[in-house]
Amino acid sequence: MTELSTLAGTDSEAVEGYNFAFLDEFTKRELRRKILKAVAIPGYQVPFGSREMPLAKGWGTGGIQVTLSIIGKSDVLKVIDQGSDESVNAVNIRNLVSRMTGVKTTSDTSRATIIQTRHRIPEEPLTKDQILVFQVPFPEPLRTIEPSEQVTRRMHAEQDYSGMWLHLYEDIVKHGKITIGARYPCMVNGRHLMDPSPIPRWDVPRLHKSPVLHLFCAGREKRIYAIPPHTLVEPLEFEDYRFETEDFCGKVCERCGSSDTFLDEIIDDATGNPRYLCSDTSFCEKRQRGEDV
Amino acid sequence: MRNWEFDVVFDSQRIFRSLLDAMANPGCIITLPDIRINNPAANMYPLLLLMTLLDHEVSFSVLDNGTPVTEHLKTNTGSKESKLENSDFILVYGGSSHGLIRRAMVGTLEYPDESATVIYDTDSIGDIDGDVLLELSGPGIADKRRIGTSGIEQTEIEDVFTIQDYPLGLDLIFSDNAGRIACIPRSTTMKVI
Amino acid sequence: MGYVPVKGGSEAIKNAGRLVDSLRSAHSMDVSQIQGRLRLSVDQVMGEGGLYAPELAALAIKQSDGDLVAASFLIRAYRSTLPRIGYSETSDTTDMFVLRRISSAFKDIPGGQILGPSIDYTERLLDFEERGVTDDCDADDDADQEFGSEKSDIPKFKKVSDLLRDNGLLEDVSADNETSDDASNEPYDITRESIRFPAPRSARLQTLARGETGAMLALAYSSLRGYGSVHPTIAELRVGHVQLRIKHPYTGNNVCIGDVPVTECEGILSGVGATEITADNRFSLGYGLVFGQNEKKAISMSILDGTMGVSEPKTPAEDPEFVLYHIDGIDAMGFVEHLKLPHYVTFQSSLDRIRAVQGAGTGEVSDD
Repeated sequence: MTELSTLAGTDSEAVEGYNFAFLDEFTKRELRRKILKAVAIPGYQVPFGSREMPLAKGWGTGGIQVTLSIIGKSDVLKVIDQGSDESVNAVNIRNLVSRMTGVKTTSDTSRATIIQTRHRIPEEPLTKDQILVFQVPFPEPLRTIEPSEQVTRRMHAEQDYSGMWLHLYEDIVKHGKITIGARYPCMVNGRHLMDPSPIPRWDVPRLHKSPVLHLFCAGREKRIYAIPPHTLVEPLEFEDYRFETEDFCGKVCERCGSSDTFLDEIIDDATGNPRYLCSDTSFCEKRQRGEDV
Repeated sequence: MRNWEFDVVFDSQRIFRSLLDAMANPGCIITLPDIRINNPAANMYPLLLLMTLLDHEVSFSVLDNGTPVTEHLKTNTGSKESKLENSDFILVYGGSSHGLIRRAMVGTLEYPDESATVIYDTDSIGDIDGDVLLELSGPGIADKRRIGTSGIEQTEIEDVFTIQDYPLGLDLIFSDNAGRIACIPRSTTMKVI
Repeated sequence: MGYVPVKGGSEAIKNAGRLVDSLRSAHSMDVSQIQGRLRLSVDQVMGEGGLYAPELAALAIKQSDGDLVAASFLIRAYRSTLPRIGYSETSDTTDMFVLRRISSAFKDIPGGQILGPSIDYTERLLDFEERGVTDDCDADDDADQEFGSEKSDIPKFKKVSDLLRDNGLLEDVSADNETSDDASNEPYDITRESIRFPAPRSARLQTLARGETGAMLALAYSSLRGYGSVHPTIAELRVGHVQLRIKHPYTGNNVCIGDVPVTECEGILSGVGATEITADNRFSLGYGLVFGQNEKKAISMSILDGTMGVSEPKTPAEDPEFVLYHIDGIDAMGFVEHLKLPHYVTFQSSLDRIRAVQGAGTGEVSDD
């Protein structure tokens, strides 16, 4: 007879009273099975059970479930929020994973094996040995045009994205441009429309044929999806109204001098004028130190 | 018999990461970590994969290798044996399901993930040689990738061809007796060369 | 000097926690006091947290400074660490050890109306004598003894709904496809599988059982008040203990592993003025069952069970997706509060768009 308590892995030696990586082994198995299906069907949202985590819903509970289900002793973890390792929520998530697993953490993008992120892709080019885990608030790209899950699921099944095209068209008629800021809808592998999470448009082209495995997870909405390496990721656009990234033309980071990164705009206390700094703080520091990145 | 030496927490994590790597890079040959179990079958590696993935929430079936393997998996994972057409995981020995694979779950258009993952126990997997040579392209592959396997019948591959209808289909894992694995998910386009 | 981006997050988090401590101005309470004196809070937290654990619920209430949604959230998060090692057998609430049972459908019911513990019929006046510490623990002990001593000889009460059913007045749900998800007849488990629509009734009931009391109250009220037609008559509301049984893993026998207090509500979906009658000329029943004593939630649940069964949904309370996706307190709180997190990257993207649109000069934005 199988001893379930042993299979559940509850008597491991991590933090007292908790299994290694917080989740019990059955939960990890479910996540792992769903992750594999997500990878096999790029851009398709796989439903999963989703557990309540010791983080509020909407604060990265999906991302952390994926991270905790894939992480092992030899991993090195980096966590960023809006590009920064030091943002309070990033610190909180990093502390939690570190406490529950004992793994090493880093702010150095090139040293990390797993990077959990909210709303950014690190500027530094990533390699095939890294996994990027995205925290997702809205997994459903069609939700803006259709509130019902039953209906949007059918739209994906039928590959009926005409509603989204119409939405973009109306946007252009009304404003002369596509006005979607972050969360720009993308077609993955020519089949599934996907919400890339609220990364800026700046980061969207970097998903296309990237060498990295991207895992996306929405804890509250209970969905996992993935973009494997070298996968077609195409933002929706018209021939005469192209997808555009944010325009930082003529602006440079006042710390490191970069003119090729996504910049945070900051209002100067004294003058009230905008100033610009790299959103990716770890990258900015490397450039300031003169490292080749 | 129970495998006390299989560490459910850490061994399954390491095996899973190999599997994730293989699934994200179709056709890429990945060597599993060196974990050993006392096994009832000739090739323990497919069992390691299933001991990593199965639990009481999913079901499996084993083709053509009888009771010891099934009992081993039931005892070590708490998973249920089921009919092939309802199985989440299917383990195929002997290189062929003799056409049965065409009855496996391929999912629905609304839930294509509700489909079987099929593990083939093979003799060997290599880059260039084998009884069956495949050329692969699609997500996870930069351009094209070749893979050869021995110990699987070409008719079996052709049977899988006939039911793959993206996004519906099966996700395949080839596991050889030297601890190497390679995956061919449904998103991969393949042709026999 | 100019703006300095937030750095040193770790230190800031610690200090924020210390400031919370500094606002706790009275002596620390023993968890048993919360469990014994804030029992309805404890019950609510167990229900919304989805875990029967009175002492832990009391601890969660203490730790969250009395914020019950936050306390339920602590319980849910803890629950995630507990492996699911088995499933209980079906409990029949006819066998409940009843503390309270009332019916508003009939003046008298077999076995009688039992008022039990309730403040329904007392005046809502602040009792200023309660301001200090009063030691009335003895009374509680007596009550415990009184209930405890009778357990060996539990009186059972036939349910009012069974009386209606025996008389052919209630629809037969056993043949309803929605009550069984598949041939195995196992209920859907929303904690293991993401809910899908159309949702089977078992998934709807489970989601309602974990729902946030206030959210359910508001939606149920909206249906009663006019955004919907469901207005049930309570066939029976009962509060009491039910036994939980599991199949012994080795012997296969049913064994009792303890009992849990619950509130159960069965509402006849009769409506006021507009009686809901099923196709075969019978009443249908809305069902509510929650941990502990939480009558407003049990009643709300029975109403929402009814509203979601309406064949042509027209109002928010009748739309299963609307109800089930929005009543979870932990989901709702987390997501509303996540707006406090930094959004400057996403906002930068929006800034870029509004500037681009203004630059494009269609003339339509300038009206804003």
